[in-house]
Amino acid sequence: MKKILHGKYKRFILAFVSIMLIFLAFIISIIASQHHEMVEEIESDAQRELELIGSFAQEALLMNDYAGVEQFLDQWAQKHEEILRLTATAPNDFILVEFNRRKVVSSSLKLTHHVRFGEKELLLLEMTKDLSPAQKSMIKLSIPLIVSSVFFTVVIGILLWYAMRKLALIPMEREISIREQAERKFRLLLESAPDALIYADKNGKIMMVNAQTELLFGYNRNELEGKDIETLMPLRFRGKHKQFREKFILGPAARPMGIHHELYGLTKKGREFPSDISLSPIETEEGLYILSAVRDISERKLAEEKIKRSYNFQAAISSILSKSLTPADLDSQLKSTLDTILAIPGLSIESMGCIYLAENSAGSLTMKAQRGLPETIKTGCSNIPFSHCLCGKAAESRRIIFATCDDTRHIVHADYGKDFPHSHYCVPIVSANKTLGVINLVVKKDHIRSKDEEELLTSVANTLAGIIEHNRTDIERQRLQAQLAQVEKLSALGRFTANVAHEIRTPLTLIGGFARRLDKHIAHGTKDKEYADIIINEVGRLENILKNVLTFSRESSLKMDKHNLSEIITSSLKPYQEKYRAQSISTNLQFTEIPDLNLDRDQILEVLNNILSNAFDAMPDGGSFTVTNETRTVHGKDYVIVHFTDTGQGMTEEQIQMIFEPFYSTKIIGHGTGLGLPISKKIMEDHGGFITVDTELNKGSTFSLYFPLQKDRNPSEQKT
Amino acid sequence: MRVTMIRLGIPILGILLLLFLLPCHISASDEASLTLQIHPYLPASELLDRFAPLTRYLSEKTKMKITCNISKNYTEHIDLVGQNKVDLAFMGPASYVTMTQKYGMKHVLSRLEINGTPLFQGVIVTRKNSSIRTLKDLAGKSFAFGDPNSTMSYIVPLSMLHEAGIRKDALARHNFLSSHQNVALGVLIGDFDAGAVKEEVFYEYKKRGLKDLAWTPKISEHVFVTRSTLPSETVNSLRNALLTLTDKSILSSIKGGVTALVPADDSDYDNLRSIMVSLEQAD
Repeated sequence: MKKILHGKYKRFILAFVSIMLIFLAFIISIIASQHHEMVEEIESDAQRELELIGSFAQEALLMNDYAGVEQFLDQWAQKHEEILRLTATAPNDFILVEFNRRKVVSSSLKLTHHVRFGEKELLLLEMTKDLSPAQKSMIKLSIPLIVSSVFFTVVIGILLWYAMRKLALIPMEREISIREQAERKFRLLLESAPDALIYADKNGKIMMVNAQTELLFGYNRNELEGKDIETLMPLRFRGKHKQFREKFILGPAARPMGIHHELYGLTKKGREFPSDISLSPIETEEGLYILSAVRDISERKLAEEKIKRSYNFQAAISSILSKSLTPADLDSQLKSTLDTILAIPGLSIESMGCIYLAENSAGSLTMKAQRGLPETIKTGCSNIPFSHCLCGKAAESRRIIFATCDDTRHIVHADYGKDFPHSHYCVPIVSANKTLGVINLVVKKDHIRSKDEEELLTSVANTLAGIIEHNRTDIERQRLQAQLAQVEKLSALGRFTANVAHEIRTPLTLIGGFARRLDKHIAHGTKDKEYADIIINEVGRLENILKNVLTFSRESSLKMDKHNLSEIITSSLKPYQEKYRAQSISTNLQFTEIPDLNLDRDQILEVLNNILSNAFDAMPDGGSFTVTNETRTVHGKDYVIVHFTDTGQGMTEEQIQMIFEPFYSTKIIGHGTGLGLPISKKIMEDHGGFITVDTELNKGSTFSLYFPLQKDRNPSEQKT
Repeated sequence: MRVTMIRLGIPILGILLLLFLLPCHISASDEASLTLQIHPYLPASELLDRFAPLTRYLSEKTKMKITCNISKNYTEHIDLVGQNKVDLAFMGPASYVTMTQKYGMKHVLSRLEINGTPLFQGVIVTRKNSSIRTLKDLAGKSFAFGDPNSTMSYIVPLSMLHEAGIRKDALARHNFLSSHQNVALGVLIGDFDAGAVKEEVFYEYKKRGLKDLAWTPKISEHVFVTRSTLPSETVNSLRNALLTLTDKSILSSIKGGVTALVPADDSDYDNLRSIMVSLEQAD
């Protein structure tokens, strides 16, 4: 504070000190002139002294007292310490007296005096006087004088200064301090305001701005001060603003600016931003000033938009969810969902888009619902493999892809014409890390992708994923229910069959036994013999059927032991080799070494018999039968898999669904029980494995047996 | 008026005080005390200083109180000694001759021996650059004498001028400058063409430009005498004391260069006496 004041009064203090210095110089000059006068006085005194000496010498000389003169002058010179040299020279150049004092002095005075009597020259007196004692004494005298005058000046100066401070400066300082405080407060207020404050005169010249203004508009305050206020607004508003400003001056009042308009500010870098501006007129002695408070409302606008968008998306999701509750098939639900998505404001153009579903495990997308797409797309993009084009990539990566139509990843282009620039949003429909499908939306080319928009689209996709999953689960549930009903039916049938079989078995054994006994007694070649043989054969067949039925229906126990599977396969093939050859079926064993497995040899032999028998039946016109094997992990479990591939007739989809059903047979009545494959399936399941079939009509089928690979486990009887 | 009286009163009072304080003032004579009277060839104070050691010496030696006194002038001195008003006196040679001629003989005690001789000379001097070569050249010139009673600055040189045929009126002018130094300086300064001084003064000023024109005959030195009425044992005692004085400090105090006090006789001053007689006759 003091410093500032001193800084402010610097000129004043300088002037004051200068006056005091001039005063001091004046005093010192007086002392100096006194000094000079004293020197002159000393000189004239010395001259008078010399004259006095001269007058004595004259008197003595007139009395011829030369020795007296000599003695007197010598004694005089001796006595007077300040006399450095004294000579008395006669007119004939005889030196009567010559006194020299050996002394080094700083200053001296040389004087001469002619001693005359009338016209007669008697003596020339020359005297050199040491002025240093006089000067010393003068200096001695001067020093206290100067010191006291300096002291006096300083004291006077201090007194004057204090008087001046008391009378003029302190009130002035106080006044200045109050003003400064006020100004500081004003500045502080200005600077601490959260809004950009611009203080301008009535002509729109910027007088003062705060730090927030610098921050908001990117200008340095030096750049702004003196400029027109219109500098800070976009060009298109400037002309109008001048008119508004002139109007405002006519009736100045504090009010917000542009009540019915959207206001924009313009930064130094040319960025426009929406703003709120309020105006306050300030009347001062210098005239009217206008204080404008500008606030950047970009964030608020953005937030508003975000809320609006979020609302739209939430409404869409809600609509999709409510639609999903109405019973309808998936395709129509997808169509309805797509319509809802396309109806979200500001998202799509021309309501264009489609929904793909991943239909099978091969990894391809099938268009299930579309709106507004041209024919080229409808056909060209109806089926898209994963990783192909934008939708394929989105399906594969399970990430939203946003790309312009000219993006290099975009492969399938529709003929929209030249004037249809656009971008795509490809949103994967994902559930449990599995791509269920992709939503493809056509948006404006200059559409700005935003994170929250993508998040909203993802939540739409998630909702859709839920619906798809729900739909699929529903179908599955229906299928399972049907299956369960079938199983229950079969189970009852099984029990019934087992009971029947059991009941039939004994009489059948009796029938067979008696028939064989009778047969022994019937002569060969007779009709009776033929009938008996038929009875025996049919009974044998019935016993076989009964055995199978019982096997299928009862709880079987396995006799597990370590066996070489390849040996079992080889031995199972042996009885068929002749038959295969006769029917031109080539066998091809390509299996590699299979580790010993825990299995029930007889049961597995039966499975193999079934497969070999079916293969034989499937290739009536010959073909090839190949056996291969591999070891593979399926669902986290290791299996030894043996594939039996024939080049037979293959099966239809319907047949595939039925082959593992009991009593289903493609064979001629009497040739099969219809229990072969169901039994095989059961045996495999009893072994902890399973059986699959892969078939193509007229090309052939592959039956695969999955044996669980049990490592280092002792063979033991396993109950299933 | 009153101020004038005070102004006059102060010097009078001073003189009275000085007289009162003088150690050698004339006082009522005392049997046990003697007076030593000095002829005033130098300022009185200096003479008192110079003779103080001798006075002390004599007092101690003779067991008598001796006080020293300075005469006001040559005439008074001659008269005081001649009239036996003082016991012991130190006299110049001319004064002694005048005194004997006027008042008769006194007891001669001793004379000064300067630089080994009891005789001294005077010199008629001129400036080195002077055209004067002989005494005869002095005719029509100015001449400086010392004191009219001085042996070497007046009496003897005047007789020499007379011998050279130059009487005082043949000189352009002559002055008595009262001291030998004044004579030397008067010549040097150019106020006088020539002058007469004793030899020691000549030597003193020679280097400053004095030139010797003629030398006087040798005259016996200053002499100590007593009044003729002083008892002979006192005279002898004093003479003895003077002649046995060997203390150089006392001797040199009297006059620079004094080496001893040697025996003297009235006849030692005969040559001076004849010179003075001839001068009187010439007058």
